[in-house]
Amino acid sequence: MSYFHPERMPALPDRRRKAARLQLEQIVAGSAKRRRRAKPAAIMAGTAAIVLATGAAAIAAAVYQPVTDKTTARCFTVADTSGFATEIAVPGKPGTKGAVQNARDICAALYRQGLLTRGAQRVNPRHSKGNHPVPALQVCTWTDGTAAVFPGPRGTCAKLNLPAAARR
Amino acid sequence: MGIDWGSASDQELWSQATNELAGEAFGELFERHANRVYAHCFSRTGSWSMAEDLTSVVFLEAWRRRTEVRFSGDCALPWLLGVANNATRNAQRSLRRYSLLLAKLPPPEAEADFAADAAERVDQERLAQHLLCSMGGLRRAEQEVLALCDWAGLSYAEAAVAMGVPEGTVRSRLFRARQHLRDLADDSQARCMHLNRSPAGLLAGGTA
Repeated sequence: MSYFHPERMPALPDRRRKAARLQLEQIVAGSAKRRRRAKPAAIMAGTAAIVLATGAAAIAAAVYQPVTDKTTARCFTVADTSGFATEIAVPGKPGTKGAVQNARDICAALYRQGLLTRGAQRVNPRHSKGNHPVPALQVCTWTDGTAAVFPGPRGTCAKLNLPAAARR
Repeated sequence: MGIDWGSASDQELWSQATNELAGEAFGELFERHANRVYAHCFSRTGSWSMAEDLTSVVFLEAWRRRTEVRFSGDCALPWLLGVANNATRNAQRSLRRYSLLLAKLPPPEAEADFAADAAERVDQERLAQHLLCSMGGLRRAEQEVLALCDWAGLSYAEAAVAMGVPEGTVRSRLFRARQHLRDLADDSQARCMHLNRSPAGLLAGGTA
């Protein structure tokens, strides 16, 4: 009794679809931005409490830190510092050092190609062709100053007690 | 950025709701599911223009209720159709709530804009109105389970997510709804005669 079979139903008119999508994106982005702006006060209060309770060392991991060593980076498959990670490096010209300019992009490409899968314990050498899912990725600064990319939502670095990589 | 939205699952897109990529992620969810939501809203209202507005309402409501989302596997569509059920149940109230935002969108397309499909669309509106009239004697939950399973093509498990009930309840409710619809067939035939064309007539004409 499929009177309204989804594949035979007309699509949402194009002009309307584009306008509705744009409106939704603007509302969602605006709302998410307001929520992010509202957070710092709460974060600061929480951070202050941690400082009082556990000392200044705890703050260091809660802030941003620049990536100082761009010769290599790590792509993790789980949001766990002891989980599996593959090291990435971009070779430079002879006589120069390579530099991983955007670790997140490279790790995303590894996920997209199927070489990395969330939760996997190794690189998958027999990956199939095509686009594979790319999880949300967060770039943290590893203890040696290199970038470490973890799957997970915003805040993953803090949960792992690592500073988030500063943009610049 | 390196995120490939096209290959990200619904769940991954939803996980962006708290960061600066939320707008893009919800845009992709809209692109992915808008047509199915549109078709479902149409089947529940019998009006293309109302379905256009309600499609926007469903996604705005989904954003407002984003923390309540339930996935079927990785897919958000069943839950979105559940939101659509709520929106269409109180269509006028839903449209009123978002009237200011809806007013900023282009008005529903005039029939001339899709002249080639106009006749088919009119037929589909008649069919939908006839079916809605035929289902008038059913309980609301029975109407919704028929719309989700028989029209939108959801599985029992997916319909369970959409309706927020156990799968067993979907099965028994659907069984009762179909039986109830058959029982009411004669009555609805007479009651809905004023709508001119019956579903059977339309099906014979090859438009459904």
